[in-house]
Amino acid sequence: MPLNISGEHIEQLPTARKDFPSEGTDGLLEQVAAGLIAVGRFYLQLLSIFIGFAAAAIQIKGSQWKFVKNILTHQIIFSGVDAFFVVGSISAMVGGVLMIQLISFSSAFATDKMMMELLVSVIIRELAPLLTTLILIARSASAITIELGTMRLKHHDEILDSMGISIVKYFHMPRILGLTISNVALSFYFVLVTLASAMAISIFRENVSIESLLIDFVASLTLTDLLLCGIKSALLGLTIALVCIYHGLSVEKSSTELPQQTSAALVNSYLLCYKFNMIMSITYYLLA
Amino acid sequence: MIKLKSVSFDLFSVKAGGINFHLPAGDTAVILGPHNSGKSVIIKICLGLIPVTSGEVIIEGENILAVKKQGQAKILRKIGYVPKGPSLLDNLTVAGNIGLPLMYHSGTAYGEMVEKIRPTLIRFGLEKISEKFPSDLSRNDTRLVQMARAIIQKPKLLFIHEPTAGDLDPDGFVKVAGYIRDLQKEKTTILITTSSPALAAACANSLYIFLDSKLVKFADALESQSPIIIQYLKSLRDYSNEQDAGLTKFFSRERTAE
Repeated sequence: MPLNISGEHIEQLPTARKDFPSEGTDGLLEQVAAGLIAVGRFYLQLLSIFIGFAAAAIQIKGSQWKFVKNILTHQIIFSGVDAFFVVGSISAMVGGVLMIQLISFSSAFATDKMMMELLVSVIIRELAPLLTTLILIARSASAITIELGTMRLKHHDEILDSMGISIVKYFHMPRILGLTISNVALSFYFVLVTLASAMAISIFRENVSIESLLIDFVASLTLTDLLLCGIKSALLGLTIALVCIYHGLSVEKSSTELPQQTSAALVNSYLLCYKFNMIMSITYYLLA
Repeated sequence: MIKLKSVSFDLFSVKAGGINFHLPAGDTAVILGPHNSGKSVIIKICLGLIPVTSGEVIIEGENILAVKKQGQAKILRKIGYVPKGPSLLDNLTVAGNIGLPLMYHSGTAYGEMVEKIRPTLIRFGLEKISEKFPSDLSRNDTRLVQMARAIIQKPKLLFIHEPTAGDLDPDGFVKVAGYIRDLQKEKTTILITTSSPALAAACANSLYIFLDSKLVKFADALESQSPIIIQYLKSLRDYSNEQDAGLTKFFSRERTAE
C-alpha cells in the first residue's frame, strides 16, 4: 500500500481504466450519466446564483442600494464605457467589410432596399448581440473570475460576512447588473456604428445619397428586431456574469485553481453564449 | 453578552466538545492555546461562519446559529472582528477598508465617510496613510487598519484573533496591546484568541486554555497539574523565553552595530 508524505498508509486511487469497477457498455453508461449529472449540477448552480441575486435584489435596502449603485457604476464604466473604443473599431470594420463583400457581388447591393433589410436584420438580430458578448467575455470574464477567486483564496467572503455585508450584494449584484446593462448598451452601439460604416462605404463607393439610405434603414427597422437584440444581449450578459461568478466561487484552497477556473469561465462563457444565442434565434424564427 | 452552551465541533481536523463559556458585558477573555487547537474555530463559530455539531451560541440573547442569514447580519453589525490573516480588501484604500461597513450599512457617500472615520484614523495614527492601498502597508499598519475597521461601527463586542501574530515588530506589539487596553477602558466586551502568553498576560481579565479538545479556565488547568498541562505550560514558557531571547539578541546586535 502506498505511503503519504507523513509516512501513513493511504488507499490507492484508481489510476488506470482497469481499476474502475465497471467496464464496457456499463462503464460508458456510467460515464455518460456522471457527465449529465455534472452538467445538470452546473446549470442548477447557475440557477441558484441567479435566485440568490434576485432575492437580494428584492430585499435590498435603500442605504445598501446606494453602495451597490456605486460599485455598479464602476462596473458599467469598466465593462461598457471603456469598451466603446474596442467595440466601435470592431463594429466599424465589420460593417465596412460586410458592405465591401456585398458590393463585390453586385453594386446593386449598395442601393437595394431588400439588401438593407437583410443587413439590418443580420446585424441587429445576430451579429450585434453575439459579437459584443464575445468582446465582453474577453474583457470582463477573466477579471470577474480572478477577482472573486482571489477573494475566496484570501477568505474575504468570510470577512465581509463577519461585517454583516452580503457578498451577493457587494459582489454578485453589481457584476450581474453591470454586465447585463453594458451588453445591451454595447449591442445598440455596435448596431449604430456597423450600419453607419456600411452606409459610408455605400456612399463613397456607389455615390448613393445618405437620405435614401436613411429612409431605407428606417423602413427596414422593426420594433421586434430591436426587442430581440435587447433581450438577447441582456440574457447573454447575464449568462457571462453567472458563469464567471460560479467559477470564481469554485476557487477554494489553492492559487493554482485560479487560472484553471478562469480558463474554464472563459470557455464555458463562450460555449453557453453560443448555445443560448442559437436557442433564442431558433425560438424566434419558430415563433415568428 | 456571549454564552456558549455545550458547543461541539469537528472541523478541519480540529475537534472539541462540551464547550461552555460565558463572557459578561464589558469583560475581556483571552483564549490561549497552540496553533490548530481550535481557537480560530471558536471565533468563527461565534460569528456564525462555520457550523457546529451541537450546542448554542447566544449573543445578546439571540442564538446566532439558529437565526437566518439576515438575522445573522443584524447580530454581526453589533460585533467587530479582527481576523488573523491579511483581510483588507486589496481594491480599497485604507480609508475605504475602514469605512466599508459605514458605506454599506448606512449608505454613506465616500467623502462623508472619510470625514466620519477621521477621528478613528487619528486614534490609530493612520491619517497619513489613509489613501494608501493594503499592498503598500507594513504588517503593523495592516493590523492597526484591521482594528480600526473592526471598531468603526462602535461594536459592543469585539473578537480579535491572534492580534500579535505575524511579523509584528516590538513597537507593533506594544501598540496593539495598548489599543486593546484602551478598548477595555471603554467597556467593550472583548474575546481574544492568541498563542502569545505575553499578550494574554497584558490583556486578560479571564484566561482560558484549549487542552485535550476542551476549553478550560487557566486557573483550573494549573491546579490539575497533569503531565500534559505541565508540558504545555513549559512549552509556553519556552516560547515566551525564546521570544524574549530573540528580542534581546536583536537589540544587542543593534547596539553593537552602533
